[in-house]
Amino acid sequence: MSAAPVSPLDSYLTQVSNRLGMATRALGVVATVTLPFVVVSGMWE
Amino acid sequence: MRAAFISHSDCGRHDTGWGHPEHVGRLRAITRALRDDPELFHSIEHLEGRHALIDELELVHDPAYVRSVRVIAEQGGGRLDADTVASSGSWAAATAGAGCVLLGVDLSVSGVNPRSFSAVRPPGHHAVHNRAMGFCLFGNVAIAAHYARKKHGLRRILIVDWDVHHGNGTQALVENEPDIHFVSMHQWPWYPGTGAADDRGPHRTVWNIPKPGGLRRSEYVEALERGIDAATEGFVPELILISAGFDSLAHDPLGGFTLELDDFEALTRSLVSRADSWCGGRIVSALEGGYAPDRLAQAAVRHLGALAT
Repeated sequence: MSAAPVSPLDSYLTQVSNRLGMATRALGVVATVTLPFVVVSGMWE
Repeated sequence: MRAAFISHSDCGRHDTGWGHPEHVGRLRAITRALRDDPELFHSIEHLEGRHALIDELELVHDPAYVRSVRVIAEQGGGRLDADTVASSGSWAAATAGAGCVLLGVDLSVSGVNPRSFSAVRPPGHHAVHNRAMGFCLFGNVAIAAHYARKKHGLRRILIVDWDVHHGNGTQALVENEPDIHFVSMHQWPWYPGTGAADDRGPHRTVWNIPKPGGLRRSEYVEALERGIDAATEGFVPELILISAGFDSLAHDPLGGFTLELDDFEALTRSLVSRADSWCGGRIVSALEGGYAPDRLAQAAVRHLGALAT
């Protein structure tokens, strides 16, 4: 039995990269919505 | 007769970086989870292991390779294979990892702590005679098997490897010894691409159980139990070694098996029961993979809890 083994590190990094992509998109949405509030509340600190 | 939890602070010195799945947070998660179970925490023996000696590493590894790991670490580290890195602390970590498992063997054979779980890193079951592989520097469990035979005069040893990846290194390092039986259940097709069912080793003392990902949990458990049955037909081991890889848990980032915490507890209880009837309860278990730290930690605690009963 032989197979072209996918490196475990590559497999992990691909998943992390995919998750990071999703998280970045989600954070982008959150940041767009919340940015004005952050700026306002930060002014008084 | 308490079970032992063995680890070594030097195992944290193998610095792979937080971007690498085999990072020190895996061990920290285990100790955190153990503290969250005060009853178990107080019922087990907590021991710091020792460093394996060079002679002990050379029971299975090429002296030139052992030397090269030391030199690379002394020079600040480097890359050992595509997946495996070393840092300046890797020599201390890898010798401590192997040494913890050897301490487990000593305690088991002496009867002080017949059962132990060593929370160690780097893992070991992919390391081969003359090179590192798949996050592994030294073959901790294979070294322990040969050590138990040489130091303590044991003959028959059973190794059970439930890591989601085939224990190619362990197989290569023990398959020439007919009195060491090796059972590995692993995902197929998957890294490292070895471990076919018909690869029985030169003495037919290897039982490989390749399985696709995504099956029902019970299919994996039953297959591994059947493999252990086959490996012990007419063979009564004097010691059981477990390569406890918890990347066979469902949702592990490096595996596709579907096992749950209950399954590791059940498998461990089954091995405890077998060990009680075969060899005075002797089981020495060592951490291999498992890359979702919180889940790995929960599984390790359930495994340890079952060893402690």
